[in-house]
Amino acid sequence: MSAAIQKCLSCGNLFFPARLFCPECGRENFSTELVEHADVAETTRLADGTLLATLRIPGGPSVVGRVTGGPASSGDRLPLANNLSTTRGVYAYLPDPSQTSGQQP
Amino acid sequence: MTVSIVGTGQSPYTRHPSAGTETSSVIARAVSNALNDSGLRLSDVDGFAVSSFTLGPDHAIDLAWRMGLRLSWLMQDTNGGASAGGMLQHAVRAIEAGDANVIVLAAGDVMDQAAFSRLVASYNKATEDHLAPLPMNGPNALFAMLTTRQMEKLGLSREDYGRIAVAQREWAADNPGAVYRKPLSLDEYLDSPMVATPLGRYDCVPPVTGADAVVLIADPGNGTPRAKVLSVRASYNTDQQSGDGLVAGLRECAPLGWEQSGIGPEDVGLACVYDDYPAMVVAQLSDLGVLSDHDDPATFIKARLATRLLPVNTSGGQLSAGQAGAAGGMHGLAEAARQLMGRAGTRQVAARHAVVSGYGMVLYRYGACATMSVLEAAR
Repeated sequence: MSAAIQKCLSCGNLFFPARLFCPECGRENFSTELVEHADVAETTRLADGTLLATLRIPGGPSVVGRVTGGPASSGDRLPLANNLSTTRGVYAYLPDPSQTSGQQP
Repeated sequence: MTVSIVGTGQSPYTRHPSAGTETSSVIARAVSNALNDSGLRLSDVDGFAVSSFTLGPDHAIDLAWRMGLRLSWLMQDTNGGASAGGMLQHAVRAIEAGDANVIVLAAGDVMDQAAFSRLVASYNKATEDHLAPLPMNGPNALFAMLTTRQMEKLGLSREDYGRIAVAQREWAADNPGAVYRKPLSLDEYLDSPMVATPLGRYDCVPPVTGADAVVLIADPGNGTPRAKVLSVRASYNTDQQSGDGLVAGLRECAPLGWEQSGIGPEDVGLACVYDDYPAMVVAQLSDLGVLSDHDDPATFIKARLATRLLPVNTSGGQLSAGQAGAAGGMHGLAEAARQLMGRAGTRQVAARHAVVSGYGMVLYRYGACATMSVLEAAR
């Protein structure tokens, strides 16, 4: 289980969502890095029960995901996925249509 | 600078626009009201700028044509809550450069439930691709998490944010143009249904249909009450969405904004800051230095904001008056000018200087655009 994150080939910085030019070094050559985990910074629960979270990717950006499969709180390290998986366990869903097709929650 | 606002106008805000209400008509009403307020005529206008999310398929030129304007200066700004400051910045330079003499700035939208849903689902590509599928229907969840970060950083509680909402509702009671004027108690605030923890109903700005406009001219120097523009600064994409969102680009605007205006944050008698959520009121007052690093934020809210020692968002702000789409930033600019011209009715304050902030365009996690304007009451 992992999520695709953009990596600058020149300076190594990670970005999500993807950029056109690297805001750090200005280059435009990127690769895709598969990141397995991120740390929950904050969560918010919506009126319908949906749990969303800001997650910090180690050495990379903060991203917004949906916590699926159970609860999570600040400090928890969660697996990341670009797909809604049927796998059991708690993970953070990070939608990215470039990595999936027709995937709906 | 030698440019002033000499008229303001609003198209009445409403939560429930009648069927068939068109954005162009809503904006045109605000323009007409602003010109009436200024004593100028449509034929005097030679510059026009507009911001709207729902004007399409029309653009600024279509709207100008339908209003019968003949212009030497025209612009359209797409930066939502920061568009008023952006248009003001350009308009001041245009008048100073001689490109136009009388410029009307307008912003507004028809923002019923369907329009709001469309807007937030396709706000930008990052939203379409990475937020809407979560699902996330609008920015409430993002600002809920931003508020949590601010609570932890500044030691603020829901009661503190509630005092902001309650204070603004008290101002709204004296604003016939506000959609929510009924007094709000702190208990009502705290007991309101949760929208996205820790945000309750009264933390979230209500979308409305409406528009605001201001009229700008070179200083007339004939005793006409006016709001003289002392400085306008803007900042875009200051941190590439890599921060916590608690410091907006406004902090970058502040040093030069104050220097160019010749006053400091301690001189301000009125602050109209962008208030889509109470946390952003705190963040922007902090960025501007009005809430200084030496102040305890909770004490500042209780002792200065809630007591009206420092008037903040005297229209009731967007939280009580409503957020008319892209007019969110124009709302505060118009209110500040109205106050400085002595035309604020029963909510009139005795301020000589006002600071206005704009904030907008949530790229992914928080807004990326910020503007700061300092105005002075003059004749």
